[in-house]
Amino acid sequence: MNIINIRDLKVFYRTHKGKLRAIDGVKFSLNKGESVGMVGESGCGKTTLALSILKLLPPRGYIEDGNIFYKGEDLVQKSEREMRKIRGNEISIVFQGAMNSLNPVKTIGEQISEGLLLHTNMSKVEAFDKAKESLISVGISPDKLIEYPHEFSGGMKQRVMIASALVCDPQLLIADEPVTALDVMVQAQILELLNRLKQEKKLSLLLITHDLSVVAETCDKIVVVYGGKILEYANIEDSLLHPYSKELFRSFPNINGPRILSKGILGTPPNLINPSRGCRFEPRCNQSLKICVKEEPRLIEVCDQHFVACHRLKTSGA
Amino acid sequence: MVKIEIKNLKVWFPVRTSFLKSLYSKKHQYSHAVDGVSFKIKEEEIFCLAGESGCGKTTLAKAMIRLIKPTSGTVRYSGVDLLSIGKNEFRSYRRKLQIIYQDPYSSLNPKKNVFNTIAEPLKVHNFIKNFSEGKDIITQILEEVELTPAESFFGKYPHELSGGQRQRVSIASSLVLNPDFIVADEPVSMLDSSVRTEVLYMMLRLKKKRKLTYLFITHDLSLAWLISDRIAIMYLGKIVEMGPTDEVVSNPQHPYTKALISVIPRPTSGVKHKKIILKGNPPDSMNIPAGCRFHPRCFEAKDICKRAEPSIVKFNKNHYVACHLLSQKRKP
Repeated sequence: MNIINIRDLKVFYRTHKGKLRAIDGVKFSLNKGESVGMVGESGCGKTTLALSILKLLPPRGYIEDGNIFYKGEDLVQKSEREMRKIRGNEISIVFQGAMNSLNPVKTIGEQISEGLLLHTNMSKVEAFDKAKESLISVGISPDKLIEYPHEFSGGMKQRVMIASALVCDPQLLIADEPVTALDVMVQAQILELLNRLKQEKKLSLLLITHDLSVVAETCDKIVVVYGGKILEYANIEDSLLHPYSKELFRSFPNINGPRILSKGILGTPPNLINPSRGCRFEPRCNQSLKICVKEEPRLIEVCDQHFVACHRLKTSGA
Repeated sequence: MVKIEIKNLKVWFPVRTSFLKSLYSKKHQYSHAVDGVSFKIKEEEIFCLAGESGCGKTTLAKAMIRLIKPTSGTVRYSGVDLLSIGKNEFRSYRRKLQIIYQDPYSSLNPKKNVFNTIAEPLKVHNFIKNFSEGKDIITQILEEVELTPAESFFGKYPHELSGGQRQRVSIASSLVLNPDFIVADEPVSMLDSSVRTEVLYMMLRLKKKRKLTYLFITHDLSLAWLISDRIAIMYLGKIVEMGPTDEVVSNPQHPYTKALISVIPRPTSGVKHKKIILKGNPPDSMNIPAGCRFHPRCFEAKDICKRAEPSIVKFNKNHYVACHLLSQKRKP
């Protein structure tokens, strides 16, 4: 069953140079209990997508077109009041840079139980007990509940963020770069925690990151985004086919592979204010065809549940 | 030839206590950030320091180039003891030893444009009398860090630059004095993956061209493995394992190194490898555990580890390890 189903979503930002097409026709769905990893360079629209699911876009951003179905209901049509019931309760988000998203003047317990007090009829004491449980589930001792964020290390703050996102037992957790800027060992601890919670609570997970290896270790499916478009959507076991995904894959050091520093992807991400008519990746692609300049490739299914948007694949397939 | 050699370097920070407490306890408390580290870096080598945050990597690097005063130990740069010479004499060495900081978002002065940022060290070291003289040097250095056309960057302020461009500017300002030893403190950890490789490429190219020696600090072992010649793994102010990068990564001996290598995320899915995830955080550097400092988190700890601190011993050629288990294995 689809828990979230996004159809032809377009999210634009108003800038003084014109409309910035941050998300330009994105279509994908997420099943219950599934985890999807979304990868791409910075500025490709990953965070914008996460924010538009929760309708937390900054004032300059707006949903131009498309639908976001959550359990069959269109979130785009919902009012702010209705959205408030969903945020934190049904869909939760762990923001990027969790170290800075905790309130320094409130105790950890107060911050975790805040969501419960808003969404349920619990008393403060009950909420505090529930917060305690939640804190234990992320592996922090419950007597830390009365401490303040400055007494916590980076990894612990990240756990607190996860605990407070999960305290209302949401159906879907959106994690925006949950492990960037964390140490390798802490990173491994957090990923292990996410994997465990995913299984225990049957949580659906949308993991946003620029680190392919993180996705490879936690997710069932991978979505490659570039310039506001989905270029590839595949099961994690499949080998990626789009030239961009391949380049992205190659630019990660693989300790089991050869010890060479890859050149990275040359060129800069596309201009989203006046995007070209053709494939967004064409200027940086080393395998581009004539058609790539003129016509934009559509997302086609190359094999079971594996979608790629590339002209080259269509021609080679035919 | 050895470029820089440190011997038994210690950096202890005194911990502030309240006046009352200081009355009845004479003992001063110290935070043992770096606790007796020795190694040599050869000329034109990339030496990598790796470890969790808070293990003293940055403190060690800063002490090596005298940005922090070490408590004890020696630092020899091309045969000269850097810690015994006077401040004025040290100034001529300062320009040879430079550092690239981690976060280009906070290491650049937001009120200074690119030109002035790079011209400042030149002026401080009397390379130029006024800013107009520096134009050629600055154009050249900006071209070297691939910020072209250089003139168009002169008047830009940090907020107008992307993360990668900012890091290039800060690299340019450390290289403008023609140093030969560079401390690179996590230079790419704040950058995006594709920008990251570009910056690394450039750093390697500059190293070849200018015959630089790098001390590369990182917590990302896969990165260290990719670029460094030798690697030292630090834990709580001490080196636990040191050797040629290839060997340390393919054949780690210390349990801590084994754990660190096992958790490196790999982009290949499907093949599951066993991970050793250490519980908890490293202990506080004020109360270092007795015996081996790693034993409370070690998954192979024996009795001896709680009692005696292991010294660093040769495992084989150029590969050093500080672990009791290793010497025990060898005895019989």
